[in-house]
Amino acid sequence: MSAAQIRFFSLVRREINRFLKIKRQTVGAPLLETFLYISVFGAALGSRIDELAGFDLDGLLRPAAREV
Amino acid sequence: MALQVVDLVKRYPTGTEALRGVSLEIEAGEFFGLLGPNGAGKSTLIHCATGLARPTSGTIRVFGHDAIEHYEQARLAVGLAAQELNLDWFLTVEETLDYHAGYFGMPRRERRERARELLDTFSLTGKKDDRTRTLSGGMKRRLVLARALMHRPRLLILDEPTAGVDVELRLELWRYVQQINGEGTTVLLTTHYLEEAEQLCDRVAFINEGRIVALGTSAELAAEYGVASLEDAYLELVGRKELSRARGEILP
Repeated sequence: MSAAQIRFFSLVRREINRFLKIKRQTVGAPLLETFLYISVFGAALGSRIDELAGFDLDGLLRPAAREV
Repeated sequence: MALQVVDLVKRYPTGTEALRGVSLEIEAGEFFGLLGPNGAGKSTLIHCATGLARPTSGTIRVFGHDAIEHYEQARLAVGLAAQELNLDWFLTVEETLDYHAGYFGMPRRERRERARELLDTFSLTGKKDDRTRTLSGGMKRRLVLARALMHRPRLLILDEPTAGVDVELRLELWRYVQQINGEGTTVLLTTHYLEEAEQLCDRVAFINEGRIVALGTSAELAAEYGVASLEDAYLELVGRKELSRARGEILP
């Protein structure tokens, strides 16, 4: 590996390492946020919207919520 | 020549003139001290030499490499232990050293060996897996110095390395820095402890208001101002000779 590659990969390793060391902030928080968004909007609006572009709302959101 | 500075001027956008035509030459292998009051331009000079600040005019060369035109080669020759403890709080001690050497292009095996060697020298081996923020002040200071030495620099710049450090560690740092100077590394030290400069440095420069106002060995400087110590020469220079401890007026 050339010196330039070593430098580049050192930076990459450092960034990934730093990201993973604060998993709660970098992975956990966005997951929780998305879950809350979907469940709150689903609960608040779900009963008022019968269908969206030919699909019913529940059927649209449930797979997304399951992904989370 | 380890460091050659010619007519260096640095003017910040705010209008502050931190350096007003500094010229300085440091020979390879020398232990050089840069002294001056707060705000005199010491750190700005160091920042210009390491590419952290761009000079307004003038040239600065590190082992013959222009610090602006050939920044990379110039920077590779320099190890910088900055004044503030600029460690990454999320990394462990060993990672700090490893990544730093990586930024300088050192291969993995060499990095590992060098890190082990420095951890041992600075008595940090037992802490190698601890995060840097959990270290004590003295350990952080040692780590900053170890990091500066990771890529085996030919010029080591120490910006107030002993500020806020206990007596024991200060003496330890002095001994180690003297040792690496003896092995051929050029050292540029800025400090407020004149006793430190007197003991360690081959030559000393006084910088005040962005200009080099005196340069020589501590004995030469004391003789030039007709005083007994470097501290008195310094006080003469900044116009505060009434504070001199040699006069015995301010001591009880």
